[in-house]
Amino acid sequence: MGGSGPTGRPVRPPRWRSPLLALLEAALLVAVFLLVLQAALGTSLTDAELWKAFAFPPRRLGPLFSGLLGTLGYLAIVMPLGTALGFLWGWARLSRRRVLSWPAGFLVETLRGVPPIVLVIFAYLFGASILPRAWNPLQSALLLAAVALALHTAAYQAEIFRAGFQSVPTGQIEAAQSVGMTGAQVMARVVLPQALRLSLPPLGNELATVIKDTSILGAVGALELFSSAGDFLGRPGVLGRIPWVLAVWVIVAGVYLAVTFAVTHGLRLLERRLRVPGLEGMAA
Amino acid sequence: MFRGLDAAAAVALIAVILVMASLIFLGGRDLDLSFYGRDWDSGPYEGVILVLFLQAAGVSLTATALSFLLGLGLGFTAGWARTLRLTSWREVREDGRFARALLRALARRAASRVASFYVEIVRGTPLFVQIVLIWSIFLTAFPDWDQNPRNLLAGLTALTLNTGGYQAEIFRAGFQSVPPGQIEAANSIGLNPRQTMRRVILPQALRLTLPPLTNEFISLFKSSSLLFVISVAELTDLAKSVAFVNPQVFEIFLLLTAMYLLVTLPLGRVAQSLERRYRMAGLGLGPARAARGVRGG
Amino acid sequence: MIRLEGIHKSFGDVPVLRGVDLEVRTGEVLALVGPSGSGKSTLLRCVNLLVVPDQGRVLLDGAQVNRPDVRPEWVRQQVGMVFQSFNLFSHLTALENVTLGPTRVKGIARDAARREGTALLQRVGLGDKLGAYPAELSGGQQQRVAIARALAMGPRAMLFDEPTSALDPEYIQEVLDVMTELAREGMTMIVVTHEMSFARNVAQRVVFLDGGQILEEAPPAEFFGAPRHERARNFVGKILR
Repeated sequence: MGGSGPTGRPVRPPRWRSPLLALLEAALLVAVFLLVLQAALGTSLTDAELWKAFAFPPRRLGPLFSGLLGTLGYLAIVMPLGTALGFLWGWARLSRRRVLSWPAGFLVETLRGVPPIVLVIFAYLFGASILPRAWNPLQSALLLAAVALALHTAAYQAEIFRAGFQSVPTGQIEAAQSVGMTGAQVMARVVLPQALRLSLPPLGNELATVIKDTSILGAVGALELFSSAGDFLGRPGVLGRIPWVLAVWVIVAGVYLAVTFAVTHGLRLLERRLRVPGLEGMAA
Repeated sequence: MFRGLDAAAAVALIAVILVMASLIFLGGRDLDLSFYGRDWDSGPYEGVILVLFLQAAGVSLTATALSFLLGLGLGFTAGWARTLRLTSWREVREDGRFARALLRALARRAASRVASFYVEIVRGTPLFVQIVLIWSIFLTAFPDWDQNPRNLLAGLTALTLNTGGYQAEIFRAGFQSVPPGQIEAANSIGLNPRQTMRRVILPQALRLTLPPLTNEFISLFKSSSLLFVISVAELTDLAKSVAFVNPQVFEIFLLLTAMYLLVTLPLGRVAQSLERRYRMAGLGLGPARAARGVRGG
Repeated sequence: MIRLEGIHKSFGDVPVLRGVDLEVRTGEVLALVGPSGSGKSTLLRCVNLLVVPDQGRVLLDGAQVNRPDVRPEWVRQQVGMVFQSFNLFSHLTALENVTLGPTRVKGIARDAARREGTALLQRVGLGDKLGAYPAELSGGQQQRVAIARALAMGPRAMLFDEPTSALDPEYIQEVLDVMTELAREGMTMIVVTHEMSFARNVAQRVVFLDGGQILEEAPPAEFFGAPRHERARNFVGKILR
């Protein structure tokens, strides 16, 4: 943010003085982009048949739209679970009791050092073999896979929260104690409000990553955007239509971009609401 | 027992133990992996799982290293492009040689926009989608190529583009984190912009980017696991295939985990010690701002 | 009012306080001076139990407070503390900093706390900065808010740990003025300080701590004019140069 460019002059984010020109430029860029895309993909972007895959109610649900819903559904499971776990985990990491802090650290290193796909496949196979008599073995295996993803992001969030906690100057904790606050009050009134605010930017980044990671669940057969796009392209009637293949993936990429953009901007608005001058410590 | 034993060191230790154990329990079984299309030969160790895993690890590491190095150039350029100061119209008009100034301004704008576009796309879409997209392009462009090399090349391209985008951000932050005072000082002793760049900015910026680049390498190595989706014969792909013919799924995946940890954990330690030597505000925890009127900050 | 008897404290293997006896009468202003590392801050923190002594007694109005059945939080309500690095709560405004203790610890109603807090901030000269966040205040202003925050709890005594050491020179006086006023109003104060002008003019007694022990105790005129102990003389000589 700011700072100097390579030539030593301060870098301002490129901005037009007049919003009209900015809009024009944006429109020009989009137009150029679409034209290039058209040239590369043939006429497929304007093909109505293709867009049927995205049909949403009241018409029958297009396969890609169901995929999108699936992604959002998994997001709703993975993210809250991951954040809740990550918060407790980060707290445990800083506990004075070795019994808590050591295993917490151990698990963080392990779960962060392994690619999420490995965790997901592992959990899925584990679920499929251990829970064959469960109500719905396939669904529970997929649920376990989602939990594995949640664990993976929780490990990252544990570090984010830990850093947040540690960013609150210890002098303020002393000051709170000197006014007669109990440990719980110090935590609730002084540490948490600051730690949480400081953690928001990196959490936003992590949220964006989780959105992208839901695509991993598709590799074990979950219904989400990535796998449904693959399925759609494998259908008879679609298979082999090369321009469609590229177009579909480009559109899917665009959808992910849109979702990520919406979420990160929402979070940025939240950040702005909660902003307190002087409490901007951690960069995203 | 726990005192002095670092959590990460313990995990690494366990990973090594797991690998050793697998050598005993899983190695030496004759596996029929004839269906598994890979381009290397295990010679007398055909069917020995541990050896297969080590070879696959080699593929993963090589792919990661190649993509990382190629991405370095890409990331550096894109990162630098994003720090370009854009000339305003007023400056263009005021410049004596209008045509040249206009061209420079447009070129700068285009470079900056294209770089930003590239970075936003790479960072905003899942790697899975990027891999499959590039693979489809390769499929369309070179339909009569041999499958294995084409998939590998597509995978490498996707990884390179991906890491390039993330590295661009690292380099951008690196350039922008060189303290402006340095540049002031360089100017005041008479260095021109190019010398300043070469002698003052670049050395410092590059030093600052070392820790995050190490982390990016680790991240890329983990991301290489996604290449299995286009049948590139690397670690995760091998694990999946072996699990197909061998019922010891649990042990196989433990071995897979151990393999990844053996690379990521030591490198992670390296990254941490680098971080301690070259702290960089803006790419992680920055130093807290000092209040006005306080001595020493 | 405050009495420390036979205080010993070590951090790990390092002894910091080696048998300190100190008494502070009600309304007295005590200046605690000495070279760095002599244990002044630690001694101060023994009074409000931020540091628990290994040996010895801490007495408040004759009653021992470093006992397992006495809640340290209660002790800290009786004795306020002001820190070298102010330690204002960064996420709260000046007024909120001041009212947090009264509302959450003493259970005072929000409006009453706000009225009293406003009055206190006006008293330290910051009536127009009620809604300012610490980052928007200068060092001197922050320290004055910190003093108001400590006073808001209605303490019987106030502890100051090098309150002006972290301030730019131009802000030191405004804080000293507030402290002087406080002393004039009869507050019991223990002040660890390097500001010898304050020690000389406002304190009634100067206590010299070195190597974890009290080496000299005297009224300021005597301490600065004719120190008896050799190390005290060295110290005074260096300070007054």
